[in-house]
Amino acid sequence: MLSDLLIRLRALFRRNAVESELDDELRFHFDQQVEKFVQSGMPVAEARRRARLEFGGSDQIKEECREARGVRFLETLWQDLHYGVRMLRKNPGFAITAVLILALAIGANTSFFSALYGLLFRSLPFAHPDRLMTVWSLSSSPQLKHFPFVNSSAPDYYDWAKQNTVFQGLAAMNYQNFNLTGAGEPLAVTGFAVTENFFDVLQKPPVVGRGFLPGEIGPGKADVVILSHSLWKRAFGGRPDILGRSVTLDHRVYTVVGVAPPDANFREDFRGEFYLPLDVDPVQKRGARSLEVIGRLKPGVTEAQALTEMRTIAARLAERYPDTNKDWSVRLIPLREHLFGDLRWPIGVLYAAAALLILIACANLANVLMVRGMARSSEMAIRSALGAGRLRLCRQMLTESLLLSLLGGALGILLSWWGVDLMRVMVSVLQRSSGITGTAHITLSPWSLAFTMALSFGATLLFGLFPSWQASQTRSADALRGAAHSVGEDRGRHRLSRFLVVGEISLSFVLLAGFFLMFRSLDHLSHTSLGYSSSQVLTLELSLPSTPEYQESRSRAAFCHYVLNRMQATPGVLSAASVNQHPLSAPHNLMPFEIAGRSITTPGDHPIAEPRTISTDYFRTMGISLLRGRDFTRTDTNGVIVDQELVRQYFPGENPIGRQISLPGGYVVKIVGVVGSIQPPKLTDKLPRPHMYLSIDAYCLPDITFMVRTRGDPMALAGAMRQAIWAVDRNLPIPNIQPMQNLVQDRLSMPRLIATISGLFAAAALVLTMLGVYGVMAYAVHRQTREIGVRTAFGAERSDILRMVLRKGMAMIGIGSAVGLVAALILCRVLSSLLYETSPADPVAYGVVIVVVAATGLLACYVPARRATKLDPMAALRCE
Amino acid sequence: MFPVEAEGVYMPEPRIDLPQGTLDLLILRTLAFGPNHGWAISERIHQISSKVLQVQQGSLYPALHRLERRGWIKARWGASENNRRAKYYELTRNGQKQLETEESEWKKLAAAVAQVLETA
Repeated sequence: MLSDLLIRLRALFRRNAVESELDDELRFHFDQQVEKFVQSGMPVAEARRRARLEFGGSDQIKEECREARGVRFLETLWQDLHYGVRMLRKNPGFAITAVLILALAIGANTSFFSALYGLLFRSLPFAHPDRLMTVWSLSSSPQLKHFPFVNSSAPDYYDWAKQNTVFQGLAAMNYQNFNLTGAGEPLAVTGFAVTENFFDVLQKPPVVGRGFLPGEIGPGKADVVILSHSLWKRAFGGRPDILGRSVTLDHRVYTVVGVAPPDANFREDFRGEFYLPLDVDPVQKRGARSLEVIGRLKPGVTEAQALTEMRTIAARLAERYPDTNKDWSVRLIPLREHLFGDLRWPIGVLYAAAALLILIACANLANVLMVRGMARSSEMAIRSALGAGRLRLCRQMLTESLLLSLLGGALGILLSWWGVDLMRVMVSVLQRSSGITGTAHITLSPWSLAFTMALSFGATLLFGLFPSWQASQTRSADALRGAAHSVGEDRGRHRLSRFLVVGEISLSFVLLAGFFLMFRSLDHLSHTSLGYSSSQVLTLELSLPSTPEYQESRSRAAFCHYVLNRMQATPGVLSAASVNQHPLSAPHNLMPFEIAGRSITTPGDHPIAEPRTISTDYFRTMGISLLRGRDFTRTDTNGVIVDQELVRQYFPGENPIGRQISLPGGYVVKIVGVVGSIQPPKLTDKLPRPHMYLSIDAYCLPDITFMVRTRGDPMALAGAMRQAIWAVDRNLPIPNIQPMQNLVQDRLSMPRLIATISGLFAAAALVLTMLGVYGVMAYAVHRQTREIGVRTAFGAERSDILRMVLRKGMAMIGIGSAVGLVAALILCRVLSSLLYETSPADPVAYGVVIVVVAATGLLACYVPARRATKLDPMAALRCE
Repeated sequence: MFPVEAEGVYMPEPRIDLPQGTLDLLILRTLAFGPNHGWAISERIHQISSKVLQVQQGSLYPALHRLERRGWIKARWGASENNRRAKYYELTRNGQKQLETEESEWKKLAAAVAQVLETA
């Protein structure tokens, strides 16, 4: 109704006018009444008294009129807010603590939820991604059982694809490096060679043109290429008339037949710039496993069914081709798991840390609000005695809590923005160091924000109601009488808040334990010798094109020697060498070999080593120690140098120098030297692997990394080293120039990041918890003021009082630590896969945590304890 | 519920509780004679009821404000008999209708109650 609204609005916005009108109206009534009494013969004074008596409380009438006018709800809200703000401002410590706790809880939790969402629950950019499976070869031979992802050979893929009935399609892929020339700067680009059904399996048809046709595959066919979307946009401006144009790769001309969609690439660590047809010839070598295989399950086929059938096929192949396939089976890994699997652990652990922090924050919040509630019990009692209804008190408390929630929520949203940015950086670092695809888009997830805010607001409102609930429980007369009231109840509440703090201590103990374990592990890692020295070494990675001039191994080796001569002649260079892959890059292939004089009892059971082809001086440049024998000379075309690990595994207790080894392809080489082992590039591979070094003069691969040990800062020589390469061949792109130290740092980036973040969490948890301890102890001292006064009056020394308070606090710390220790010993076992040479029960880490908790706890108790000793006994006794 | 007191000495107990809405009806009926201010309304009810009903200020004014909000009466400031500024309430058209319905309902109710009391 209009009049209703107008009256309400007028009452709200013209409050003063409405109030004075109400005053006038009531005064008029009063005066009339007095006059009436006077006219009936009463003396004026008596008439006024009588009228006042009849009138009752005018404030109460006014209040009821306000309510009748329907403004009371808004007005009370306003009043409550006003009062709430005043209360918070009067006690800024409390307000700031509560708001910070809330903000921290919301911020931390939201960022972690958002990151998890981005990483785990985001859909892959493919239709029905859950039906996409990566298919791997799996060997049960002892040498290979540590390699979970072994590629497949072309004949194996051919047979799998032909014989299976579970996959809609099975595609294979290989990647190759090319040098794209003729368009300004030479570009080093990676291309995929894919089977013709590749785009069908991913269900990502080319956006322009067509996919490959079956006839286009095989030797002697026309050279066709499909460009990646990004290359098309970048190098050709996204022009639609791209079809039929030609591009030059490694000096060979290809005709463009299509453009791939932007996200057809599921291996972003190998950013493919174009696709070539892959020749899958069943007569290729079955033992040469270099293809990645991905398949799309038929609808309704489960992973287990598919695995069973693929294993049957593999068993059949193993029977038929025992030389190459004995002990080989198949492994299926869903694409999602293949992409995200590695991240799940670290992120999960950090998420658990966030959850613990939330728990601590909520417990703390509850405590802060409860302690505050106890402190306000007499205020509540007074208000209740003055006629404030229970609902009214509840509303007042709710408003105050709401105010806290809003402030905390606002700050929490800010923190969330910042936290999500942090997570984005963190996840990208994680991805870089673990080499997985970067399709995770971390954005602030509104759902998680809403969820966390609801959780923390709920806790605030619930515990914020505590004082009004308490006021309605205690009889006001008792409460007004002071501290003597309901001691039992109070003690019960105090016990609850002590219990909460003990819980907080245990939770932070767990977080601290997690952090110190991570820290110990990181410490181990950074002090573990890699087997080589990485400081002051510059790495320059490149790959030689497959053009006629680099067709032969000899010409590639010659290129290396020319470049190395120039590098070594540069002032500031201590030594320089070349290697096909630097020690921190994962091996592209493994080399099976046979030891002369030893028969292989079971076929396929070859010894295996990671091969590297190196120039002379590689060991000196890398600081790898030569243990026996000698380094290569320029004439060593049939020598091999093995490492300590290979000797340990295959020549235990023997002198390997002079022993002969036969390699695939009929090469027979002689061991001329033994060098120290090196650590594997991936942290997850904890044990060193056998290595075998061949001279580039025996065989030089097109992938080349120049390693240059310098006298000063390695980057200072980057330009000169690049010129040394370009002086030999101006057309070579050098995509990667960086100090070896960077690569070593990158290797540790994930554990360092995890340690840092868990450290942040542990620190936040410790601060929150110690605030909680401080709060409870301060309140305990406040409660015991009289007792302390009495004790002091009866001659207790200050040290006695100090001891009394500290004993109480430290008992709490002790119980919390004990519970936390047990919990941490159980919970931290989940960390073992992230720990390097550190036991999840590492006594040093736990010792440090105990000391840290005890020390900070002592500090948190000492401040209130000291205040207790400073109490003036007389004042203390008078305080109530 | 509106506490109503009998005339005479100030006595908080016992109170006769007027049924819900009865005070509203009395106020509307009083105002049907013409605009009046709060004190006069209470005096009028007092006199017409042969000094049985005395409306307390604590009930009267909230009721007036509530009726005003509902749009059944409206207020304006005017001069009283002794030339003081007083707030006069008068019946609106809606209030007139409301009075009629409430009056007939009250009569029905009263008759029914009387009948029950007499026959039972």
